[in-house]
Amino acid sequence: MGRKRKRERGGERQSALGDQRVDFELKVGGDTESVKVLVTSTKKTASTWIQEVRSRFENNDNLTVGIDCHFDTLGRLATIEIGVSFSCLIYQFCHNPDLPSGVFGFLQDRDITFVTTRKKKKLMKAINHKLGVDQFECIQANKLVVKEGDEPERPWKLVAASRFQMDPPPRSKKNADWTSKELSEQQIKHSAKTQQDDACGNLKLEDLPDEIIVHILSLLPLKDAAATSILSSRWRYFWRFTRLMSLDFDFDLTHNHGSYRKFFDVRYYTCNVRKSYIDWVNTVVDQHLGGIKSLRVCFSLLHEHRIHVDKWIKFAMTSKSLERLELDFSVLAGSFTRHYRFFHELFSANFVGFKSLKVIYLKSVSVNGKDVEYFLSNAPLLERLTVHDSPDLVRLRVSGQSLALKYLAIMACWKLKSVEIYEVNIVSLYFLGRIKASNFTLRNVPFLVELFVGFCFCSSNFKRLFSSCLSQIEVLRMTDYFRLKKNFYRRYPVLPNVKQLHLRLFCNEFRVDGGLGNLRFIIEAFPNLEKLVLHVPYYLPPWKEDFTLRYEKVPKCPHYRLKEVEILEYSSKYGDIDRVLYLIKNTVGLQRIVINCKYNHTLRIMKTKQQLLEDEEVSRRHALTQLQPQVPSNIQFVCL
Amino acid sequence: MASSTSGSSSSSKVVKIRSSDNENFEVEEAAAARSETIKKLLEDVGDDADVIPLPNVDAKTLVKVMEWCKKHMDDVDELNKEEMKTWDAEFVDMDQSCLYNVLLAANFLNIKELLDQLTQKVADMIKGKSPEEIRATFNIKNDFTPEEEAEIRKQNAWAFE
Repeated sequence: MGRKRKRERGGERQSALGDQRVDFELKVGGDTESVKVLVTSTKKTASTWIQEVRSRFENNDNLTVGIDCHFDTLGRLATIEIGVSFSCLIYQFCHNPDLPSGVFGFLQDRDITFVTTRKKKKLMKAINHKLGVDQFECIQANKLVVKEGDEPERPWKLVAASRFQMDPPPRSKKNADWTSKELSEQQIKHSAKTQQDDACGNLKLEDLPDEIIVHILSLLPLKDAAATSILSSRWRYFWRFTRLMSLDFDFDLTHNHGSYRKFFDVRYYTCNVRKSYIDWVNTVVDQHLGGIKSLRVCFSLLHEHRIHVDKWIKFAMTSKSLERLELDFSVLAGSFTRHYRFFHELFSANFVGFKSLKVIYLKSVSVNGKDVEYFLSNAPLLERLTVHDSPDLVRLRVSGQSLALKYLAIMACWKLKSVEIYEVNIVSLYFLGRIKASNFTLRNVPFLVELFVGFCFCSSNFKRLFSSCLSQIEVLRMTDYFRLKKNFYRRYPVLPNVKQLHLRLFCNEFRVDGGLGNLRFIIEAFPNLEKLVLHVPYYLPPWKEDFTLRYEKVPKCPHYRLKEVEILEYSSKYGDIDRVLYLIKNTVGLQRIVINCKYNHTLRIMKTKQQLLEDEEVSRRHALTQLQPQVPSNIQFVCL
Repeated sequence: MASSTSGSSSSSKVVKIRSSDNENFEVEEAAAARSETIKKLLEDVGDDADVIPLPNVDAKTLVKVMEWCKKHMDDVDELNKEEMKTWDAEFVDMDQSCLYNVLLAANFLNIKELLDQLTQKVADMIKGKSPEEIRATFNIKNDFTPEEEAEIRKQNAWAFE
């Protein structure tokens, strides 16, 4: 079977006597050595080779020689191989059972150390009995005793031992034909490439066992995995058993809504496609049987869809490997709609999913304080918890040093009356909402270093709210509005430890100062700031695009530590250029400006992706032609 | 003072393994131990082990697997990560039949990282292809009647959009 005798032979010369000589490269340690192999069944050729070797190593009183032999399928001796330094003789005993006297004498020479990687017994037996060299002795390579510091050459490696390293004679029965008169090139020079070509029989993907195919499908996105059900009857149900899948039911509004100019249009559209979205999730949830890793449902869903949503959450919670539960029902859910209410009572603690859950993200999904406490006490691995826009959240208490919780985000829960966060090891807190300082407790959070706040909501009592941790904060993320006349002089609290600030500024219609007021107070409030990321979201609807900024006169206020400024969603409009120039003028050691022109596509429903890409290009050109020439040459300028 | 090549320093200790077609290989123990299966066998039999038989892996496949194990014997530092990535990418770039043989061997020998690389390679070959392209690439025979096919398409229409 599969006897391959390739006739094309690389660097080989063939003599009239049927000898073959092949040179090839062998990697020894880090070096590549050129190896010469001679295959012959001619006594004279073999004797000449032996003579050459003897004369070459005449002065070497302890020559080490590698030796091996091979048998045909009936167990008869076929070849004997001798390796010295980097040359190797393969003598085809099967074609000429008369051993050359030179070889005979060589094998009997007791000054030579013969080393083999084969089982010593078998080799000895072959050489003593089959070849009749009764004085032959050899050592097994791994038993070889060497003098310390005397690193011997290892010719046995050449002959046999390093067969997996490179270029060993072939061993697989499939193509080894040691009795053939001409050994094929593969048999002599057995390179990695040729191994690939013929070694492996002829397997197909379908020959793999079911569990491996399922494993492979588990690495695909859900859609690709499910599409394999059409391939053949064997493939029909594989996708249902895929494991650790991320079931991601994302609905991309930007995909085909360039024509939707108003929120109302989008809402109308989502109502129309809602049924097919729900059907989609249902068919998957009904069919899928393997454990999942994450469930992500992003679509405008309301309380009236609870029968479906309850079922989906239950489905996810029965997975032992569930790590992430993400429900974002926000897409344009207005205040007059009733949120889906996630009752923790629905799910008994027996649901195994809780045990592995690391991330819970809920947006426009309503939970109350009891539900949150239930999550925290029943999900021992929970690291990230986000509750965004939950009208039922009134009292929130997060406490317990044994909690794994690291990231906590409570945003836009407008009914919130009291917040207590204490004795937890969170590193990051996002709090966006209005609350009285007297109803807000934040203490004993020794690891908290990152704070996200909506400054405009808590500006009047910012210091009181976060007094316990302000000195720890190194990274501050803040949203604020452009300064209007009435609050122009509202300062930011002075936070000397903040090294990084991400400031997101919203412009409030027409009476705007371009955010320079904000920048001025930032420079004052964060004396040790090193990096500023500034983001003025490009939100304005098209009919407001032609407004002009009215700058207030902003006093100079130099900053000494600021090294890097990054502008996100840089736009040719709305004053991004003025803000950058203001920062250049008012900083002493600025080293780097990064202008990022990439827009966040998912937020925009007024423009198509194509339009947004065109806008990006306009902004990029603007940054390069208008802004860059005004940037001093000692500041690195990067435009993305 | 004399020392044995097979002894003293554990890093250069050699173990012997035998393929299904009765070929013996000598491999550094650290490389062979990348295989949980071999590692466990070694722990079970201790130093008395003569040759570890691997009845499910033929010699050529074993050569490939051990080539990978040798390369991944030591922990990779940051500097060499890129280089290793390139090497791995080239390693898995083999013809399908060979790929599946090595994959089966990695599965049997329980070499998780290698198995991950190989399954990912196959997954990448499937990704983004139409069912027709997948059938052609992997030589899969469609045994559905047109009616059955239509029914499956209907059942999971979302997957075929």
